[in-house]
Amino acid sequence: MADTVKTVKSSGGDYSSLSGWEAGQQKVISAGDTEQAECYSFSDTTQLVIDGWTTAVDAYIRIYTPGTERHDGKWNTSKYRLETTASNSILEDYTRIEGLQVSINASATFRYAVNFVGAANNADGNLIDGCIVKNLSAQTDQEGIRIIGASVQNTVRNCLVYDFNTTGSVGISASMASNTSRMDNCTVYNCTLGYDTGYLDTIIRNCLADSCTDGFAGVSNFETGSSNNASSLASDAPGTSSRNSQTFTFVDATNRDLHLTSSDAGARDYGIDLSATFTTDIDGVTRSGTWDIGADEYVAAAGGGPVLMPQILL
Amino acid sequence: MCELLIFAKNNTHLDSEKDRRGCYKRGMPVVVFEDGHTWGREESKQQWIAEGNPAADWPGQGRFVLLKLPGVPAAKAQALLDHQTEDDAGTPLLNPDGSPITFRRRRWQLSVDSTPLAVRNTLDSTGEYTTTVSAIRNYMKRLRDNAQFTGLD
Repeated sequence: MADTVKTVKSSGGDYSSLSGWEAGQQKVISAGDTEQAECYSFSDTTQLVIDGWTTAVDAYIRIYTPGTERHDGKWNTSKYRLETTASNSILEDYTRIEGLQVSINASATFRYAVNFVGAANNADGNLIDGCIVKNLSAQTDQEGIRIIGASVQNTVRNCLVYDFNTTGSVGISASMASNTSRMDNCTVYNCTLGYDTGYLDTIIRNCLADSCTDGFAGVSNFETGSSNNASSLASDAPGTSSRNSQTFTFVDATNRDLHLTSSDAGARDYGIDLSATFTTDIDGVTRSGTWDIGADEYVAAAGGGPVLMPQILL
Repeated sequence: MCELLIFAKNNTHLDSEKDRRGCYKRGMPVVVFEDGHTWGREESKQQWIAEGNPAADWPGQGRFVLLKLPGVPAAKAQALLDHQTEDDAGTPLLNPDGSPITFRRRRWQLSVDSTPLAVRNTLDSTGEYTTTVSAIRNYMKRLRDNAQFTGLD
């Protein structure tokens, strides 16, 4: 068993772009091995396509940022960013993407920031966790995270997706029959359609939609087992224990700091505990107590000890 | 001046569709950057050496070469990274939503094996070659029909 870790850096790394890494490491991954790209702070502008590999559940691809290089839950220009004008596509099974920032600024319609292309092209068993995905394009029909393909199961978790707000645009989607994907603890903000699924197969839990035209499109299509979702709109969030017409209180929504504040009454402590599957939030912070809905788990700012009053000696 | 990272070997896959669509083949451009780009040590033999490593141990040997084109803006060479989104008869391939379907990783390819022996020897020994548009024009070909790439002119 071997984990091959290559660094992607603007200087001093094994590769200077994720695309270069993908070309250089493209291979048949042996059972028990992994191929990992560790991404450091810079703007990576070359389209990423993962294709032509052989992977398996115990022989997977991992693209991630180490702790010091990871965003802090808000778009951070001093951390690694994949900033492209074309769709970034994953056509391989068992690819994990963790802690990245991805933006798309397409000049054409129907472009996707992170596109898992399934069915005959595979892309099954993938995970995208703790990523920030945003749209900069004025084109119609853009999507943030898209899972397309029948009979695939991919997981979107702890992701923040925003500004896919042109006609036909979607924050996170999973479509085609028997697409048994999971969407857990995500936040979608200012999108035309927040979450969208076309078939009765996708389970969505603890997901938050705010300032969207339609937060959860095709509500009746989300699978039994969906629960604890929240929306700013009426009659929107699917599943049991879900909350509608909520007002969410973020740190600075205008500047897309969508961390919950201590005064939030829409999402804080209304989630279901999913710790059997994962335990952290978009910041990499361990979720504790009653879980919050959305990508962020509210954590009180670290305080000092008790305040000591100066002693006046007479 | 721009610098092109060129894939130098033929990757293969048992699935013939994946092999055609997804695998990098010898001569396919991977990425392009402006002059002065700091390459990774696995992309550039000279970078590997500059970091104090023995040339003979370069892990990118036989996998990558760099082509340097003085006077050519990177934006002009960007089209060399286009996917082939038409079949070999030239018919465009589109999804129902109108987005393109990739038939091959790249539409264009440097015919490395057709270049003069001196060029190949330089690429092999140093990992890079500096040339001109007029000198390279005859070797940058469209995969489906061998048409010349004129986008650098």
